[in-house]
Amino acid sequence: MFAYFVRRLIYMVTTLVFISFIGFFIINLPPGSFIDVYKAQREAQGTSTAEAELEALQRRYGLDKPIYVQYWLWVKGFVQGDFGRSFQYNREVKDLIWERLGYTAAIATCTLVFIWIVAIPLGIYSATHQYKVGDNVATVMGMAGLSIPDFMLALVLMVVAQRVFGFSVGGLFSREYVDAPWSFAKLVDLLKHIWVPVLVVGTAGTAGLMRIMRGNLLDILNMQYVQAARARGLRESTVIVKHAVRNALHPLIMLLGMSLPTIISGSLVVSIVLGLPTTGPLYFSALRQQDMFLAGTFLMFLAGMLVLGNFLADILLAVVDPRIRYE
Amino acid sequence: MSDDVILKVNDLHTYFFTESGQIRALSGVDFTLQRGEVLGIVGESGCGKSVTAQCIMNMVPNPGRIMGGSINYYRRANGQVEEIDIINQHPRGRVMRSLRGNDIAMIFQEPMTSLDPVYTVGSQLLEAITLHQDVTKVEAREVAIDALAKVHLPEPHRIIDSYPHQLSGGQRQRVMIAIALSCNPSLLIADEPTTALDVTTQAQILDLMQELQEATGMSIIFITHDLGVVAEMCDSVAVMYLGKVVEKTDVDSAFYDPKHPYTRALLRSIPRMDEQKNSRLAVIKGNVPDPSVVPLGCPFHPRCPEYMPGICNQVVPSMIELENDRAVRCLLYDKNQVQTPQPVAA
Repeated sequence: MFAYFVRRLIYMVTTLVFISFIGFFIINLPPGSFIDVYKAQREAQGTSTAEAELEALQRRYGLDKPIYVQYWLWVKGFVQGDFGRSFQYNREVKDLIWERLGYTAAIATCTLVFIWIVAIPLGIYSATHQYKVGDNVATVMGMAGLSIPDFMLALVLMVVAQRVFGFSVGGLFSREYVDAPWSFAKLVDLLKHIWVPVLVVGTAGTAGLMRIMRGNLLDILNMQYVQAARARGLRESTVIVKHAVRNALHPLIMLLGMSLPTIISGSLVVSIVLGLPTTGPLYFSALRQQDMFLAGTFLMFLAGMLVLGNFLADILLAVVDPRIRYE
Repeated sequence: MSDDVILKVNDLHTYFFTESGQIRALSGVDFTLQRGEVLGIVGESGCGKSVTAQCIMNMVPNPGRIMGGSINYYRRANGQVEEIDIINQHPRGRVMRSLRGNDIAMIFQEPMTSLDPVYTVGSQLLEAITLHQDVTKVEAREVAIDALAKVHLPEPHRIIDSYPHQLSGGQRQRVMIAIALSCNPSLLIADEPTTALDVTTQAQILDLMQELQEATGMSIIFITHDLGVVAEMCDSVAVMYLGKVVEKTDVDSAFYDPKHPYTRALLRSIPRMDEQKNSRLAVIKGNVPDPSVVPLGCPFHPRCPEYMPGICNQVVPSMIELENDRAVRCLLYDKNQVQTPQPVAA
């Protein structure tokens, strides 16, 4: 078990190193450096940039040096918590991200919890009542949830909330609370708004996860050990929960690991439509503006979460399945 | 009817309602099992052997349904015999659950997949014991280790805490037998228990089952397509073809004086030691027909070497009682048909 743990840890670190390497390379692919973009922007605004400022930037990031030196400077700063500077906002990347990370994580965590709480029981019900009315209803709802685009559902919900219930659901706060300090009233206001993105992003996720759970469980229910458990005289509920569901969880654990990056990225399109202060739109504009340190930091964070998610899933799988544990 | 009957299956019909139509897996299975008898059910794949076992356990998988007939189990308790009408019990009900694993136990074809991979052997063995016996945890573990020792597993103290993937196929089948026998069932259903094992292990498992049967006096329904296994294990044989029992006989007559053309054909298809080197092995021509399109008349007539045109493809044969408790479902033995070969309106 310990050897397994260490091996996974080594895989994880190696993967991250490779991702940072490729990520940095890709960000540097477009012609010109961000200095040119920065200069052009300043000129378009009518202000000229002092040569001294540009030189200071060049020195800080070693832009006149070969690319591997630039990479090294970037990585060195990264592990020390210096993610570089955003040229678009003219602020430290660190501050920009921290500002939005809290809300993003809050929304995404709520969504994940919502998806799992709704989808797993529905999937189990669907599988144990295959082709009965309940299963068919769940299947139709699932297909609908899967095929209606996020942004469409978001728009419809906004319109309905506004027209029928008369409250605004765009953003995360009502106007009067946006800059207000934290208070109980602000929290209530947040809860009034957060259900929309949770529901919108959660619908598609629930539908997908429910279908996966149903499929897995149907496969497992045909296994001989489920029949054998039944033949021992166990209650049907014990057979389902203890023997079938437990074995159907493996692919879902892997899936949970893969969905970890969404906790920091959030759902891009929904965030834009609903005007949410999450990291998704920030990442999007960073990519468009060639704001390389902001984009690079995001890329690393997303990759890091994915790799960490896989690592945690591997560990969890070993806990759940003795065949992996005793490998 | 004698007191000694443990199980009586009568005119059992089980159909599967699939999207491509109704499949008659069982269309009138009859047999009676005496207490302590070892009955072999033989037949080709798809003839309904396993479905019969599932019916007795009242565990027919979806989309199958028992459509008619009866299965009566005679439970002996406190000197009394209680009759239980199995197919009228709810499959998930209390009565069925108290029978399964306790009175009627079952072992399966694939020992590699009949143990849940994420629980230890002991945990699955204890499930059965604590469910049906009134014992404490410590006592239950004793019973479990004892059960593992009875099936000659080495170091039962170690095996009880190991996971299924750490055991070989033969060991797993021994564990399955230990689980099945842990509550001293009166009837054991063995659904091709040695099919997935290599020949040496097969012989060991058969020896073990024979030894345990003699020690406990339980009845066994031994489902197999291996006639060699039948010869070694069974007292009597029921030959099945397309959802019906076509011949029911004692084991010696089955081999030395088979009546039904299908039984004879099955016997001819066994390779023999004394056969000529260059002779070809006899086969039964054709395949088992698709159960959704059963031939008219006798279902075996398209493959039967003794096919009587105008009779066998018209008349559905019924079970004909012969001497010594034997019975055969073949028109060759039907006095009415052979003497007056007139087609009867079906």
